[in-house]
Amino acid sequence: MDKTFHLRSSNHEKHRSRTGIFESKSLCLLLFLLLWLTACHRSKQKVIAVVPKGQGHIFWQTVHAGANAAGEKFGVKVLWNGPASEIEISKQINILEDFINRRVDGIVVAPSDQKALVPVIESAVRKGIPVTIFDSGAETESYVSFVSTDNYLGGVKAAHRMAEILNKKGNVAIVGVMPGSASTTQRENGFKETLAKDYPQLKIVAFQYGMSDRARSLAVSEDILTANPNLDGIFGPNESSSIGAAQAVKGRSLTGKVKIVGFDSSPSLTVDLQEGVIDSLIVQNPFAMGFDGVRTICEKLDGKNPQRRIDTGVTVVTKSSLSDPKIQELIKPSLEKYLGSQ
Amino acid sequence: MRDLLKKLLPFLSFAFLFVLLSILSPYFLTIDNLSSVARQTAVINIIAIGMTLVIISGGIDLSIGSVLAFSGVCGTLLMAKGLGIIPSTFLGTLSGIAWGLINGVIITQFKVPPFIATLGSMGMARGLTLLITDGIPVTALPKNFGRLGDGNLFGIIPVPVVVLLGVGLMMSYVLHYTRLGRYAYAMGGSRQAAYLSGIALTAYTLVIYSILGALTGLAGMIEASRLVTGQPTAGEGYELRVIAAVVIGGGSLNGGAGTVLGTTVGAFIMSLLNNGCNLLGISPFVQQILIGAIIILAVAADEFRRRRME
Repeated sequence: MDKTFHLRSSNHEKHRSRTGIFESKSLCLLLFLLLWLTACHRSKQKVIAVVPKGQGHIFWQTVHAGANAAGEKFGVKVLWNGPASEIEISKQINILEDFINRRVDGIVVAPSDQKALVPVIESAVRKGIPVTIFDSGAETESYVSFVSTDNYLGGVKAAHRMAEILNKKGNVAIVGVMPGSASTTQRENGFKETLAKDYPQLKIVAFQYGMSDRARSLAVSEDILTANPNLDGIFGPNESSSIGAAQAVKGRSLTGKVKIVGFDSSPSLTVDLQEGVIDSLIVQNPFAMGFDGVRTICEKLDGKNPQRRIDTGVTVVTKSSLSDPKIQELIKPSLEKYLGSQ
Repeated sequence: MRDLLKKLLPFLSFAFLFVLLSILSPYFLTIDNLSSVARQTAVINIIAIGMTLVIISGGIDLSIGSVLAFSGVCGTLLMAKGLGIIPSTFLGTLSGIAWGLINGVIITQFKVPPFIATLGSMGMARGLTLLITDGIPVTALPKNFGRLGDGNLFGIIPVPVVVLLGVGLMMSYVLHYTRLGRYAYAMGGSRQAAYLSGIALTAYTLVIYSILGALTGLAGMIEASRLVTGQPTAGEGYELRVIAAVVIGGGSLNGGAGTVLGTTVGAFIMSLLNNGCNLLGISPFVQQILIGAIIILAVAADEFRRRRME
C-alpha cells in the first residue's frame, strides 16, 4: 500500500519537473530576447519615426539610408518600421498608431493609400506630432512638408523617351503598379496622357496591374507578350513592374525587339540596362527623400518653417549616361555606409 | 492540476507579456495605447471567434481574407451609390453569409475537403472583388461611416471592441448552451460518431460556415470603415493570423477543442507582441520570428499534452 503510493507520487514528480523545465526555458528565452533587443534603445535624443509603404524594394532601403544620414547630421534618432508589403494598408496604420502612442517627436510617412491614411495622420498632428509626407500624397493639409518626385513629370519624361526610341509609332503596354497608389498612378497618367496628346500613332494596347510584386508583374508581363505578339514597347512605372517586364522580355528572347522604359533603379535593373534589355530608366532620388523628410521635421522641431513642397527630381538614365559619376551616385548610393550599423 | 496549468498557459503567457511590456515601455500602459491595441485586434478577433466554431467542428476556412475584402467592397459600393450607412453595413455583412453558404455547399454536397474548398473560394472571392472594383478602391463614402471603425463609446471604448464583446458573449453562449455548440464539439471529436448519433451534419455544417461568413462580413465592414475606403486587396494573409489566434488559444486543428476566451487571448497575444515590438523599436523582421515561434510553442505544448493523455 505504502509502496504503491510512493511509486505513484515519484512518477508524478518526474512528469511535473519535465513540463516545468520545458515551460520556464521557453519563457526565459523570450524574456532574454526581449531584454537584449531593448537594451540599446534608450536615449534622450529626439526620436523621428520613418514609415515606408513596404520593405521589399531597394528604393525603400535607399530612403532608409537617406533618413539615417539626416539623423546622423542633425543628431536625432531615426526609427524605421513599415509593413512588409505595400498592400498592407491597415498594418501601416497600426504602425503609425503605435508610434503616436510611444510619443515620437516627429513622423515621416509614405502613405500607401491617399485616403485611408488621412485619419491617422491627422490624429498625429492633433496630438502635437509634426508629420512630413514623402513619396506619395495623402488627401490632407495637415503636414509640414511634402517631399516627393514630380511623378506626373516622370511619366511625361518616360513617354517622350518611348516615342524617341520607337520613332513615334507602335504598340505599347503598361505594367501598372497598383490601383489607389497616388505616386505611381500619376506616373501612369503622365505617360498615357502624353502619348495621347503628342504621339497619336503610339497606341497603348494593354494595361495590367502587377500589384507591386515582382512575381505578379512577371506573370502579367508574360501574358501581355502572349496576347500582343506585335508589341513594341513596355513601360514599367516602378521597380517591381520594370523587373517583371525585363524578366518576361528576357525569358521570351525578345531583347531589343520589345523596348522597355522602366522606373527606379536596383542592381538587377542596372545590369539589364547595361545589357540592353532595358532601354532607359527614369530614376528618382530616394536618398534625398529620406534625407529631406527627416530634415524638414528637424527644422520644424527647431521652430523654423521648412519649405512646404520639395521636389526631389527625376533623371532619365540610359546605357550611355550610366558611367557619369552623378548618375552613379543616384544609382548606387552608399547604402552600407548608413545601413551597416543597423 | 497539471492539465489545468496547461489550459491556463495562454492566459499566463498573456499576463506575463502584459506585465513585461508595462515594465519595459513607459508608453505601454496608457489609455491611448491600450485602446489602439484593442482596436487593432478587433477585426482579426471577430473573425477568429467565428473560426473557433469552424475549427471546433473539425473544419477550416482559408477564404476569410478574400471574403473580408468582398464584403467591405460590397458594403462601401452600396454606400457610394447612396444607400444609407446602416442598410449598407447590413447588406455587406449578408454578402459574407453568402460565401459561408457557398463554402458549406461545396464541402457537404461536392464532398470537397474544407481546406481545398475554401482555398478555391479564397481565389474566387478575391477575383470577384477585383473584378467588381476594377482593382480600384471604393471612395467617396459618407463621413459618419468612419465611426464604426474609429469611433469610441463613452469617449474611450473603441466601437470595434464593443462589437467584439457582443460577438464573443454570443458565441460563448452558443458553444456552451445550445444544440449547435454541443454538436460542433461532437462533429469535431468524431464525425462518424456524430453522424451515427443522428446529427444532421449537412445542415449544421452549412450553419457553422455561414456564421463565420457573417462575422467575416461584419469584420470586413469594420476594416473598410477604418480604412475609410473599400479596398479590394484588404485582408491578404488574414487567414493565417486568424487560424494562429485560434491555435495559440488552445484550439486544435484536429477538431473538438477550442474556446472563445482562449481564441481572444490568442489574438491579443499576437497584437501585444506587435505593439510591444513597435513601442520598443524592435525590428519588424524579428516580430515575425517571435510570432512564428509562439505559434509553434503553443501547438507543441498542445501535442505534448495529447500524447501524454494517450
